[in-house]
Amino acid sequence: MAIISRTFRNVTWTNIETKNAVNCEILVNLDNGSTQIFTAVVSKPDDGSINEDWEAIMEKFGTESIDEATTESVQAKQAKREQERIDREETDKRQSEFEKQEALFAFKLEAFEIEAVKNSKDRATKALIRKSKSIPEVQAYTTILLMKELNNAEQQQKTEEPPASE
Amino acid sequence: MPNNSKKQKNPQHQNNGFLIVASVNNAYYRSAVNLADSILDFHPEAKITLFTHPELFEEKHRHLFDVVDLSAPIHKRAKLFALPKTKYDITAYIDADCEVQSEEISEIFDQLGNNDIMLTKIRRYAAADVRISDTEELIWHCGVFLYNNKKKTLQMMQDWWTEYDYQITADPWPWPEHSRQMRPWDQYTFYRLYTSKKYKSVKIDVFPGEDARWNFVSIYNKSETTNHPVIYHYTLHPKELNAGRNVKKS
Repeated sequence: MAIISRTFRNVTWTNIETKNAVNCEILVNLDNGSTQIFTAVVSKPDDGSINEDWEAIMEKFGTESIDEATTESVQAKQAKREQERIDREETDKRQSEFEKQEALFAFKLEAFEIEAVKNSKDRATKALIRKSKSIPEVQAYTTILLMKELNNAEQQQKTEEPPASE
Repeated sequence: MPNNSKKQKNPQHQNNGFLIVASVNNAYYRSAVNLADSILDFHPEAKITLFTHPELFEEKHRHLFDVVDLSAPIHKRAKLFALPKTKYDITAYIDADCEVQSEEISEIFDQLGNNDIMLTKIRRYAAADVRISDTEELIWHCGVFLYNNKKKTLQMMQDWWTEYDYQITADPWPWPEHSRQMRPWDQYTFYRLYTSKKYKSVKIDVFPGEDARWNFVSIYNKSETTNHPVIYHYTLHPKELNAGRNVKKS
């Protein structure tokens, strides 16, 4: 297969200060109609010799155009990195919330398995436990409910006890 | 226990009830009991059917349920087995790892209106895998939904079970136009059914208003609802599942 032509694209400086090499893609068009794409670094020879690829790139794109493309590429990479950081933070936050909710549910299940809580007719306080958004909140309302139940049991016991005989 | 005098005042609600399924692991059973308890906390007249296995069921919980059916298969999607066997006119299916948190649960059956099935929508940011193909994706979250007992609806529920069984075992994958990643998802089976000609006449809709209130998955953004959720959908902690007793298939 013979090479018909070579073209360059996505040309950016490897170092925008020194401007002595570029990153690019070289498209090699073959006589069978196919195209091969190579990622390459093309350098300006520092011994005064001629690099044909370098010359072709400079002629086609020019330094100003490569400056612009390099700035755009750097900005795009920075934006991508920033988006990845935001996405990572969002995922971590969601995972952390998920684990918190799992733990909260496990805690609630245990609270509602306490006989006095399960059998309590105090629907208002039970509703507060169910609506709790954190483990301390579940603990607090469960304690309140248990205290109420203990008080109720004491009151009931007092009313059932026969008056002490003199 | 159901309060008969109250039920007579609301004849339109007489045959409506909740369906809960607990299978495979007793962590789901504990959670199902908590769910039933929470329904009754906010709606004491509610009728609830439980499908589970004899190995998981504890007699002391019978009073919570209108019907206890111990014929559920030991299967992670045992709910699909139970759905067509409902005894209610309108059934509210709720995943076992949910909890009711509002009195509005008593209004759930009114939401169905003239529809046959009513569900909530999946939130992409909170879903594991929604992409069916380049142009299709899962829409319905099947953790909480209402359905009526019309012949066609119950036939669809029956097919959901049989089609799911086919979906998880079929080899080669029978739907090359769709991602194989869909294989384990019962939502995908549901998708295949409601997009089929056979069930074109089944009316499906989303819960009116803020649908997330009826199935608020614990990682949803708080901005999804302006009022407190009616049904909160937790996930069982892996520790609970590991600590739970697994039921073995004989």
